[in-house]
Amino acid sequence: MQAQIDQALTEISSVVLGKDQQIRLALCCLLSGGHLLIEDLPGMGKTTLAQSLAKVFGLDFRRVQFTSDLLPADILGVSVYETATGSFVFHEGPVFCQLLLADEINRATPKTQSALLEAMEEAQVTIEGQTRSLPSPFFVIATQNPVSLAGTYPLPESQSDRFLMRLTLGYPDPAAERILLERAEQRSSLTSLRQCFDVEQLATWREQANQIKCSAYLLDYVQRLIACTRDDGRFRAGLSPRGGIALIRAAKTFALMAGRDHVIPEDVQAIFASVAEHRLQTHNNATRQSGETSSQWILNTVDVFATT
Amino acid sequence: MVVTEQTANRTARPVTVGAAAAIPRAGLFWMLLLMVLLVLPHLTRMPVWLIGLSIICVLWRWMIFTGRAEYPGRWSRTGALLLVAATTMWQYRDTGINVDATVTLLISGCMLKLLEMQHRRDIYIVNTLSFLLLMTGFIYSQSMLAGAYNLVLSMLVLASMISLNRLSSSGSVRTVQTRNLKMASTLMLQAIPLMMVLFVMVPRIAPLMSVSVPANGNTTGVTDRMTPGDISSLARSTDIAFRAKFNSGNPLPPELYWRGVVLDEFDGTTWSRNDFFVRPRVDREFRGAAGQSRVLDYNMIMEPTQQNWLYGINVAQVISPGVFLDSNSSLLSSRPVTQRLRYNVRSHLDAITDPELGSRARLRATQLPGDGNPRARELALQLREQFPEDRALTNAILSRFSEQEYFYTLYPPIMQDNGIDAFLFDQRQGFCEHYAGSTVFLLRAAGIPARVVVGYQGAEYNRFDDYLIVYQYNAHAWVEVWYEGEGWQLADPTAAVAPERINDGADMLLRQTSENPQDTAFALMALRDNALLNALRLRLDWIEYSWYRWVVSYDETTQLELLTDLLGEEGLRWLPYILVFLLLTILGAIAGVQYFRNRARGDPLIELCLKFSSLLENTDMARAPGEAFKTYFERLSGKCPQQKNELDACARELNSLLYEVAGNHEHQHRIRKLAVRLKVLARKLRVYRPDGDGQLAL
Repeated sequence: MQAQIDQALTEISSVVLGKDQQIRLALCCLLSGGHLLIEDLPGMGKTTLAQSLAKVFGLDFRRVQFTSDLLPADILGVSVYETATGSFVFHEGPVFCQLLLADEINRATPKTQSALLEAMEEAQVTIEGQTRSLPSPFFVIATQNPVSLAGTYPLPESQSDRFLMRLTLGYPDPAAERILLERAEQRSSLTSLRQCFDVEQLATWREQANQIKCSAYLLDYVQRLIACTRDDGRFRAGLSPRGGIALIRAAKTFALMAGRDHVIPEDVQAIFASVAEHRLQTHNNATRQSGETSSQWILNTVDVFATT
Repeated sequence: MVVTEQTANRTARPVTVGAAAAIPRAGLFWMLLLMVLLVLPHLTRMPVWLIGLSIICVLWRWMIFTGRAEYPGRWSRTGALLLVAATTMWQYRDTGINVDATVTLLISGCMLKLLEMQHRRDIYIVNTLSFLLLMTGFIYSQSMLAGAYNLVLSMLVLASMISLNRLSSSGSVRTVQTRNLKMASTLMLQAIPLMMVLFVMVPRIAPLMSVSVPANGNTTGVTDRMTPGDISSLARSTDIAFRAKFNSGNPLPPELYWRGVVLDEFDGTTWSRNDFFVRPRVDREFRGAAGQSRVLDYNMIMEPTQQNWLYGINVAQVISPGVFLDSNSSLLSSRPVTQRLRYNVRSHLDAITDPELGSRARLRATQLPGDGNPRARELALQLREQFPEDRALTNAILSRFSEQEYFYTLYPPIMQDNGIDAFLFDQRQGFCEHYAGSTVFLLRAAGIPARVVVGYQGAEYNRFDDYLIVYQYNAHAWVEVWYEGEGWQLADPTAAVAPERINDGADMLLRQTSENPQDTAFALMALRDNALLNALRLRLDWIEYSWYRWVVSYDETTQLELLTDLLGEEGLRWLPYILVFLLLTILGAIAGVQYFRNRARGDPLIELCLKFSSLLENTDMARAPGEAFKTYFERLSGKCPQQKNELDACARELNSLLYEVAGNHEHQHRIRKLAVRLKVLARKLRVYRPDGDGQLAL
């Protein structure tokens, strides 16, 4: 299983250069069965990452470019009257796939965004009073652009909470950038990516991740982390129980990816920023005083060991 | 590799390792200051060249420190060493190797070492030497002030030792200094109860080898020669002669004749002691006329006199090795009193000494020079005819002083030849020595055995601890006359001429006669007139007295007394068992507290982690709160590559215990094993100095 991870990492990092940590986290997110939100400036490789993930996992992949005039029906599907049969036939929207890439999700209206809500949490959609389930593994990878906010509708808190992780890619380092520039012409290497997982293996991963041990000491630590977000004055709202469960889920998968059968604090620390950061709202005046993000601050403040 | 601190300062990191590392700047300043403070109490005793050497060395080292001078070379250092050794030998060529010579050698060695102090190992040596220097201070002075000074200094030396042995630590120089001082004072405070118990309890053994400390300057006091003018000059000194504490009730002032030395030889001007005939007294029984005598028990603390007699109220008995009562009933010590001396006296008042006088002793007690003072001799013969009875004759002489025009004065005129005649018939003014001398002369001329006794009379009462202070101005001379069957009897002509001197004490006299404001006595009298200042003065004296009485003079005798008082005879026999029991109880209590604390603390694993972190606290190897052990140990391996394997193994084991098998109680032995490993590891890390750039800051 370790080999699978390494293989997937090599595959993706041949396309998305110098972003090993983010790729590992993205893999972790999908292996935990969570939805992924990638937030960055245009042209940083968000879409490339999402596409290569789909490729590597060998999933049925659809892409929706979100715009302000996109309607819920455009995603979910619509019933069309068919004269031949004289009845309404449901035409599935792009959401009926295994991996949905929602590009620039914050450009769509809240109405459209919330259409994704049920799909993401319940893995089913209800159209015209009829509930239809989505294919078995169902992932949403959404991207959003944090800067050009004109004409965008920032994701409501309830919706951002449904993403297990939020990643930012950031600029590549000089070495990676040089390689990018050198092979600027032969861009479409996506097609050459090999599939590393199949659907059954995904299920096995999720099953095994559930078996990973979380000792009392570790749960104590996670609880202290959560308590810190709730007690400290700099956050408008602390982590929800769903946030806490998400932490454990991601940490377990991360430990499994490292080939361990138990979670250690380093696992929690590795996934903490991507799992918790987008669920925390800081007060405006308390943000980033010392240049560290709020999740970094929490990790530095909360002691890994404490007497009761 | 040699790196001076200038280069160490310029380059970011000196490339030296371990003990050879350069001395950091902050530490050096303190070290120099400490040396100066340590040498300061010796200043008055140090030879002039040593003071010069010390100043030069400290200044030179300071200039090296600021970059204005260079370290002396090998040859100049060797030269300086030889020169200092030779000078010391020359300085003490007469006295030989005594304490002064040793201390001089020690100080000069320390000072020269300063010029050699380049590396950390040198500063270790200087630090150790400072402890030795600190101890030499106690040889010379055991006063409370010196004790307090040395206490503060030992704290500073301890702090510098701590800073030497601490890992390079984070924080500014000031916080490091505060932390080290805090730790030093905590250590000292913790040591104090232990010190007190050991001080009181540990059996005191008389020193196997004692050093005699050479006298420091002139000591004022009574001598064994009395020329008119001696005592009256002494009577203007306000130095303390001794202090006495009576076990039950203070005697009245007229009884306070502190007998010192007997002067039985007269050469025409000077009375002196003839120690040719002195031998220990044979009889030890002291009985009064009625078969019984009043007994006074008291404790004396005597200032050094450089003489070998002690003081006591007649007839005094001291049970102490090296002290004996001689045939003149004087207390003699086999060694001169060069340091404060504490002794217990039992005085038998009204005891009869020498009811019979041997012919040789009688001859000695009636000895007079062949000629001189003819008028006094004539007077004596006249009186002899008039009063055939010895006691009546003595009384006649005394009443002559009280009835005729005689004056008692501190400033008598100078009487050259035939001084006794001049005093008795012409000047008629004198101090106690004139009266005592001429009385004995007259008595001897009349054939009655008599002798001059010098000592002290009267005392000042200190109400704070109910004890008496005797000053040099209490110095007095009086007469002892021998009567057939009654033995030696006290007769004080001063009491006849100036009874207020005896009844009210010498300070009344001083008050009346000290017209000369330059006298120290005058200043003392002025001080005494102010009630508040006087109380303060007595209180200070009491502090000094108690300090000496309870601390400095605590020897095997006093220890035995104290322990007997506390425990009783029976208890004393049980003392070893009590001590062992106490020790076991204390150890048991500590173990119990530890046990319960551990139990209360709960999780042994968390304790283990916190313990390890606390061992490296205040260093750059300390764990940050958010640092889990795997990350933490990886960081430590980076800092200390030698321990990498052990660190990795420990991290694995710790993580396994914490997160893999946690909650499984079968792993207690693994936890214990790991605890030992971690402890050893933490110690190794503590002493590990990657580049020796540890900040030495006091």
